[in-house]
Amino acid sequence: MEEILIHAVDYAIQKGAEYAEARFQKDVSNSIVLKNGVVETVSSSSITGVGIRILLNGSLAFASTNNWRERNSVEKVINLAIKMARGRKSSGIKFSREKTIIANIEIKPKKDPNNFPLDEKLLILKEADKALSSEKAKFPNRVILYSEMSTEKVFVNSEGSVIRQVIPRIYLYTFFAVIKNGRSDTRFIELGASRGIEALDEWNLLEKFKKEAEIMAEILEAPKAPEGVMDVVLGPEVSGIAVHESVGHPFEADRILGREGAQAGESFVDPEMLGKKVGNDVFTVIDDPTIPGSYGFYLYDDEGVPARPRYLIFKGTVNEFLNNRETGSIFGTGSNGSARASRFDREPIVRMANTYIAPGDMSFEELIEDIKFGVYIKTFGEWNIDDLRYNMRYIGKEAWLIENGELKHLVRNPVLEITTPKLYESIDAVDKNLEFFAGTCGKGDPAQGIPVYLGGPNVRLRKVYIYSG
Amino acid sequence: MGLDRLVEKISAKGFDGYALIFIRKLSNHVRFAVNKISITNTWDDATLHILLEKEKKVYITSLPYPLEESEDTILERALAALKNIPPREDYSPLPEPGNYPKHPEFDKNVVENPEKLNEIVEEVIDKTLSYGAKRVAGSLYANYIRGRLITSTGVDLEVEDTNVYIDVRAFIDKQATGHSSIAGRFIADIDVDYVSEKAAYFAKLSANAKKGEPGEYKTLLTPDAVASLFNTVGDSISAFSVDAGFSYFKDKLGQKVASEKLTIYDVPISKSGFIVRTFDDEGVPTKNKELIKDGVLKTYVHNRFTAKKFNAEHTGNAGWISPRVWELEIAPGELKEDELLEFLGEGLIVGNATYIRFQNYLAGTFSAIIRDGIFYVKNGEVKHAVRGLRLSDSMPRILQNIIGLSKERVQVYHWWLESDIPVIAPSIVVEGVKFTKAFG
Repeated sequence: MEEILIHAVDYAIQKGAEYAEARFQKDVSNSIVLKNGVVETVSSSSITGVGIRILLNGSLAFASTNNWRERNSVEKVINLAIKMARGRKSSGIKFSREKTIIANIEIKPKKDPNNFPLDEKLLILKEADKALSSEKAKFPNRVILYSEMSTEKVFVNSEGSVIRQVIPRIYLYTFFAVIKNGRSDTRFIELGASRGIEALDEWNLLEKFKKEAEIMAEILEAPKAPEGVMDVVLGPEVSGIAVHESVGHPFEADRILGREGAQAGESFVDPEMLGKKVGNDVFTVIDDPTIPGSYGFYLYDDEGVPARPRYLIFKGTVNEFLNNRETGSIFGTGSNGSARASRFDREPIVRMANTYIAPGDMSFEELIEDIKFGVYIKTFGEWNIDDLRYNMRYIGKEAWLIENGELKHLVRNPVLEITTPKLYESIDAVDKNLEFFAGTCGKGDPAQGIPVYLGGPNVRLRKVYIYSG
Repeated sequence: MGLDRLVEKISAKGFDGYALIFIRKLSNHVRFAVNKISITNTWDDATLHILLEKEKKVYITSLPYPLEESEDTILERALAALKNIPPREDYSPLPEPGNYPKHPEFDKNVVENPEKLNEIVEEVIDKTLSYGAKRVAGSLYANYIRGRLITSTGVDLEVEDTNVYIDVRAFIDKQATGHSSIAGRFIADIDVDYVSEKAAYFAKLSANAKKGEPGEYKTLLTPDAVASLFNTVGDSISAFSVDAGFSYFKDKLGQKVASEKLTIYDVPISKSGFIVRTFDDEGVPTKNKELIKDGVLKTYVHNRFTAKKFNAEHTGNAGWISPRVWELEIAPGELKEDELLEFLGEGLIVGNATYIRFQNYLAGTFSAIIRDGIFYVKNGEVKHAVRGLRLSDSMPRILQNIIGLSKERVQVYHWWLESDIPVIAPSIVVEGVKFTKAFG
């Protein structure tokens, strides 16, 4: 395999490219769909091939084929890429200089999904489905999607790097609807890890799902959330999505430079914001691909650059952006290992990995003890953010009224609709209970869904407006 | 192609049924931003999807082609899985061959001369700037697809098709943006002048926006916004979504789900369709059909399993797992283009909608990011651009509150359609659409 990749790189250079890289990627997955307790689909897939990216006369061109064993087929797509790069005005693209790396990494799961019987997996999922119930309401619609995946990537470039990485992943998406007395609600839960079957054991699915079902049944009878300016505490699920959307995305250097303009959008962040104070000292946001077992785990990015934790906001100050080799050259910082490609046939672009708010020392009780009147938004349903990553909205699912430092009772649909600067500056405390949640982050054109963790501790916001949805 | 040998091996292994879908796709793509080409993409891809059945159990696998494993290995793995899968209660055998409509013409030239795409994009950039934009970004795709479907019931169909699309986003500054797109089947469908001028025009009109006030507005949704919102209609009308609880049309068959002004079709067969399908993934002939007629929900779309479960007719919309709408067509209304603003009187124009997320799928409550031209209109005239609002409402309510549709329609397909369903969309006027704004 390395041989064909080396040939591809050599061939591209011989045809005139200034730089070339070739990436073999094999994504093998096995999936099960359980709908309303019934096994509906058992499937497998292999998405395999070679992608080649070249830089020629300051222009980038990417080409891929899944007929990678045939030299002719690989050469044919390289010729097309060369043709496309030559036949246009230079885009003036340069790459930052990075070290040459030789590495071979294989993460092995403790319990290999391939050696775990299908009937036992089905049993686990059926039991989990049964846990999505309560005597308090009906649960007429339930979907559980289970996927086990293995990604093998071999990267070779014209600077001499040869890197092989094999990472297993497991993912569980659960959706259910709950109905009582003509009132309904729906909830989705995502779990994921770069691990094997052992993750299923550690997620305590039965206990987790039972609790979720009971809470969702109770929410149907809960009073509406209060409206007005109040103190708000965001649970780890909500603080995680909030910093993914409002710190991670706007800190992607390609967005800052306008490259996503037509699609995911640009960013309210300007290069001049580096070094500016935007929040309190308790507010530190990290994106770290190297967390063992995390859903967004990798050790080398798809441009062959070593991964490391990126302190995007450090003690309330804008510290660094997410860079690949193209943006790292423009900013003069070099890459910080943020280039990821979802499949063999996608160009690597600037992405997050595992983005989270750093935890503090406080307990949850200490976090809420001086709140006279407020809301604790533990989980969320609807969310979105505008394409500059400035104007966001989260609607709570499990949410509690806080009175005199205590959780009083559940409330329905509190809406936090807030600007990003206001969110940053409103955070005045974080507790020590760091949790991570899995997600599939979307970006790019064509779209590239990639596995990420979103996380944080419980986070306190002072005096923000809550709508009742 | 080695599919015949695979078919022989499947038969020899004792499967009760099978379906094979082979797809070869050649595509070229030029992506541009900040007035230059960011990257070009060239893809040459071949995939084989295999569905295998035994004792009413179904197993599906998708593999790169040429196959990287022996047929025996693949089939033995399927047999091992099938041993542990329970039979489907909604099982229905693969359909027999039918009478298939004729596939319309296509244009293989779309991928014969990929450098032409560079030239088109460079012309779009230059023209959009010449019309007054400060920056321009976008995407141009040209796709060629060759496919073959073989089933154990005697279906053996081949198809070739092409499509192209371009979308252009013009900027005056970060907030003042305009968008335009064209989706078609031939390179000649790309009208450089139209996409450039339109995107630049709306970007310029979006400059100097005033902060919007939350509340309910009579709203003119342009075709781009309509296409995004109505992708959720396409999703909700799939019987799979209904059964899963992902649908605001659950238990609404035969009921009035929208204003009587609204009629929607599924149109897999059209000379100018971005997506053309003359047969579905189970080999059933497709047909154009009413989904919503005068506001009444006429049918969900089905594959063989959902048809059995819902005791309904197969609608020729099969995907192997989930049925899907091929292309939505919203019937035109009576409003001429130059009458729309007068009809709106006072309210908002929404140029585009993205990032649609539901709080409650059954109730259809959601919000969407609006962009690329939001304008306040009074006395039938655009007064100023508006910023900072979010469309926060429910789809059932929006559908019921439609009061007018334009005669003119546009085929819309672009990157951020939530469910990848092309839509032939008019402009639509809706009474009392709810908008919210962010704190801070």
